[in-house]
Amino acid sequence: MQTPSFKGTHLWDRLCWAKENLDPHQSDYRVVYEDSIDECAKILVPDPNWMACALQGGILPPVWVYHELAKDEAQEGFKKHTRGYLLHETEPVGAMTEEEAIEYLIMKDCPQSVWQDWDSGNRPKMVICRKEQLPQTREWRNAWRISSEIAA
Amino acid sequence: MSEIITDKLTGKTSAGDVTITSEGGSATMQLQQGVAKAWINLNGTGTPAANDSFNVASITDTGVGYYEVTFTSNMSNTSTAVSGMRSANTDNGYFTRCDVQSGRTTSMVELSSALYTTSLSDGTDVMGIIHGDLA
Repeated sequence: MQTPSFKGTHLWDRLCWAKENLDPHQSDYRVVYEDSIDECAKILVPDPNWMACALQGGILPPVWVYHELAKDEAQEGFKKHTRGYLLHETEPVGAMTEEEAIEYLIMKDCPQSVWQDWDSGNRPKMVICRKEQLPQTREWRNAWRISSEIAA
Repeated sequence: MSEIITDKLTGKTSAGDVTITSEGGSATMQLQQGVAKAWINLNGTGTPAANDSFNVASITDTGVGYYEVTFTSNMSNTSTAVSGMRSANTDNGYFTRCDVQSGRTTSMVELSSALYTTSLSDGTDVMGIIHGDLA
């Protein structure tokens, strides 16, 4: 199915079109990362409807838009967004492969401190894996860490 | 009874303000304020994943009973209203809860799920609904 020309269309409306017309895509990819030595490993899971938008193309804004909004929000005294138009008026990105979509999602939803230097320490702070590579039960979930063997 | 069939409703005076008349006709209410801006039903057991959703980009499993939910279309501010509930699984008869943690931004809310009388736990149907203004 061809994506309508969505330039200038509110992102919400684009998501409504996608929900109506695209089949969700449940990705097998998971992103495991650690952003605090005091906390267990976190696992990022792409939303199936979002992944369908990414694979389709012409719906999602470029990832830098989210970074700009995050910068605004980090300003002291932030009350509300005044540059929300970036989400809606910036030319949507084209179709991505599933791997490119995961990279986009990492830059959107993982802390920058993790993905900007994920392998600078003694062991990686972030790993992309498949669902079946994760423990199949939730036993000791709050103690999960990225294995140091991965760095080898 | 009259029926309106249309693809789009736009306010005449202000495009983003479509009002409806309240019960009894004593007040008008802005339609947009009553619409949920994001929702999710996720399975928090095994490897957590969304069952269905709208305006959600990802969930992050941050530990037992904790799930960060990020939006595709950000909210305008952090003063959103979040409601949630989870299934009781096999613990029939227990109340359940789905709290909103303090880590809330315009792009994310964190849900937690627990049985009423016990500590945090994962549920098969953890649900969250977010109301507020879009950016």
